[in-house]
Amino acid sequence: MNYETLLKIEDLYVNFRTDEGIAKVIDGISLSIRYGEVLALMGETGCGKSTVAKSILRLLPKNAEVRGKILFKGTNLLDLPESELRKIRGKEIGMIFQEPLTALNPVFTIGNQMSEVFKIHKLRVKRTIQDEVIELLKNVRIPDPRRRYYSYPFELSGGMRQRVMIAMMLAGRPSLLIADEPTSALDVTIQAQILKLLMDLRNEYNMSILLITHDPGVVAEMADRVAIMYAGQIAEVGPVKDIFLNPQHPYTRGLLRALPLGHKDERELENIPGRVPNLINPPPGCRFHPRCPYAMEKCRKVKPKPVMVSNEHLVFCHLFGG
Amino acid sequence: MRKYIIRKIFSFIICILAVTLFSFSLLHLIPGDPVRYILGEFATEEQYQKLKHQLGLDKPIHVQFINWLTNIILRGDFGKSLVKNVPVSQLIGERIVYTLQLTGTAWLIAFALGIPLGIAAALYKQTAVDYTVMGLAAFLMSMPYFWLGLVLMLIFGVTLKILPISGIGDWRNLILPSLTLGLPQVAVIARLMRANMLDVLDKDYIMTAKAKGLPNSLVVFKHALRNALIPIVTYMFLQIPWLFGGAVVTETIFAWPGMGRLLVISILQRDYPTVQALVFLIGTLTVIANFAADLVYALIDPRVRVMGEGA
Amino acid sequence: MTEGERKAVGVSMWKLTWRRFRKNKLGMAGLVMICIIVTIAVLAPVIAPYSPIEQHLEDRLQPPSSKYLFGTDELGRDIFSRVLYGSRIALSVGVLVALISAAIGVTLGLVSGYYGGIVDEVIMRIVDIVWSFPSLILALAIVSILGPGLINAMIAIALTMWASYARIVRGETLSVKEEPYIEAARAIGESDIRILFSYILPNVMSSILVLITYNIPSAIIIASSLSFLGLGAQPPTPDWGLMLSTARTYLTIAPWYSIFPGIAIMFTVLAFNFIGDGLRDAIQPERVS
Repeated sequence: MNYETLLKIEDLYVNFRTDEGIAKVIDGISLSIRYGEVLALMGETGCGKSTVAKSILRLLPKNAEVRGKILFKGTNLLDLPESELRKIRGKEIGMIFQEPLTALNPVFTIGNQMSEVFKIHKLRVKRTIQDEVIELLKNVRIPDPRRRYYSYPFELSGGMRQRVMIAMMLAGRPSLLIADEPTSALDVTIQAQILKLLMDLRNEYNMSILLITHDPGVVAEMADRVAIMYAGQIAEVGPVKDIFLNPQHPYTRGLLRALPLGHKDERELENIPGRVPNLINPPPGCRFHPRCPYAMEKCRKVKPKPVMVSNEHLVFCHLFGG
Repeated sequence: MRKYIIRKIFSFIICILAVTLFSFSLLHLIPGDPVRYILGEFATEEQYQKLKHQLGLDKPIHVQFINWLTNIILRGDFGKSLVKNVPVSQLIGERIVYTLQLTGTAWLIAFALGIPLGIAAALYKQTAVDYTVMGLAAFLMSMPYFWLGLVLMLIFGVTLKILPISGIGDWRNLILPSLTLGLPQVAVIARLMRANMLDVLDKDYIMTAKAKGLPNSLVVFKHALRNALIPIVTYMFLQIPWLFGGAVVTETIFAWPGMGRLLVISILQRDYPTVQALVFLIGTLTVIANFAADLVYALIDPRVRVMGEGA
Repeated sequence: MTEGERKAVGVSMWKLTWRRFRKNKLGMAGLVMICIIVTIAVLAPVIAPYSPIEQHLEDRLQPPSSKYLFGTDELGRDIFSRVLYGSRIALSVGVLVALISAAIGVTLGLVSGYYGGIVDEVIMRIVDIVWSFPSLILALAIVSILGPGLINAMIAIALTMWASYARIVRGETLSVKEEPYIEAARAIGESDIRILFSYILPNVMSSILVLITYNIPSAIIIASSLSFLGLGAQPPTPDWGLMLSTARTYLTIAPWYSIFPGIAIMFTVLAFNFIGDGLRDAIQPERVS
């Protein structure tokens, strides 16, 4: 693994203008992903992890206000004009989504939708675009790819559709693949297959993966490092083994306590009393403080800074001097 | 797909039968004695018997129905007009072209204007463009056909004096009537198009298309439009019967010699054979239009083509 | 909210809807407009300067003036007074027709959805035809049977409008009829009629209400069209559609005659449409999370 940084998110703030006020969904997040590494972004539903993912490629809706920097190979994606950004989307950076049924256009064939990527980015092909597409479908282990080229999305199962999505986004040989809950909508058995496929492809294409998920089992199986998110803030980040065996942040500990790895039931989160905060009027300082058994005066006022607990393991908590 | 078509054909047949029964029964549902109703109080016994025989009312009802139906199917014969004493089919034949001209032009106007306006309103949502288009649409939809016609007449015919306001002539005579008939439909289609576009633009596959790096033009005009147009295309067919309904009033205002005007006059004059014929024709047209809409929907939505059911 | 929750919450759902409706500007505007129209209709004898059928043959086809606010028609009648009185006809026609067609349609829809089978198939086929048939033509056909006149026109229109209720009510009945509390009601021996009207109907009320609000202006437009064609209200009734029909003849010499009754129709129709839109949004708010 190359230790150079591929993607660096610096002080990202994202607000959404809504009818009820401004929702401060992302509150100053910084993250980095290295070449070839798999970074997982884990948290409960609604913590903003999907928003982070979408802000990289600027896929947020019109009512979103974004501040900060997202540096990809040194270039700030947030500053790029739309025409330049389009060259990166689907080519340098790929993104797959949670619900493969709705993520593919129902009225066009698989072949049609996948060929678009080749045409738009003018990718080099050995013989014809159709051959390349079929080659890609083979690569993601779709049976009978020649016939599937002419199929419509609804003719495929959920797992196969997700494979198609992956294939489509790999056409440009991206350095970074953003996977937004890629297996949450799939059957448990299919999940394992897709995860294995992603790992194999990571090795084959030598790419980094930003994996968005709420499932610690998925994190344990795939990720090198993991960042724990809560209500738009990062709680803790570090190598997966360190975080899972030695969680420091009170939230992480509540999240992982008594949770056998591989279990994806979210009911465990009720062990932490209280509810996810309203993002229009979020708690000041550390947003976890209303639910934290160790909350101090400082937690209510000041946002914690990162503290290095061990090699590469950072915690954002005043308990550690943050 | 096959099951879908079979079901629709079945529906079609039943509906045609219903229309036939209904048109036939118009004469017979009149409370009291239809012959007396048509002739009035001062008819002589001779006139009474003559009309009764002409209308076939002296035969048992099922015989009447079979005669009526066979005449239509085999010979296109709807009987004779009670007022003009010529075959009804001739009366209608003289006028049908004009109605088709009118409804056809209105239909084209509705789509040529409605679709682009709807798309524009969706793309420029909540800006001046959107509010203007939607505001005009609400306005147009609240106006009765005949008032829109009168207003257009006043502006272009009376005040500005640039367009004729009645009768047929050259292409200029067609403008006001077809605008009157078509503009309210422009409103409906623009609203529908806008709603569909907004709905589709919110979908996940649009985000995928953007994430692939597709330029905005392709995202909107290929991915979004192809989906958003599906309900519109079916509406194109469903709209046709409605246009004939509106034509009735439009033809009356503009003294346009079409079928619609004939219907009104026939009802006022109690010319039942003509009324029955017209109701039958329009009813059949309605059933055909609906059937066509279903067929076309099956053709353009691949989900139905392959699976037999829509989304 | 699920159906069960709605039934549990009961009355307060209406309060919630009303609160949401209040926020809708167009909806409230519509409400104000309706109040104006109703006031006019009720107070017409008081507000109108002349009787609607009083003729002033020396002042025929006069343009608007201080003496005759909207001018006079071909028999010297004050158009302003006629428009004011016309609101009574429009409102009664609209509301009566909408209510009668609702009664027919809702009943058929409930029966069709609840019993299913052949009854359902037959009713739905009829609904399909009636629904796709252009209303005006169907109304004309029925008027040809009954003869011209305002009452006959109202019957005819009611017979074209019931189909929209039947369709929606049937759909909702289908989804509601499997709910546990319906099973429970059947288990304790409630009669079918009671189940239909006391249990299922309340759940469907909000959709019916929205539909009625939209159907009133439709009824008014079709009724005016029929009167315009000479098949609805007969002279000397101060019906807006009938006025416009005569106005057409005098278009070139008395343009004002065509304008005012039309504005009245449009004002009324817009008012109900605004309320309908507001009501629909208040009952099913669109949320973007």
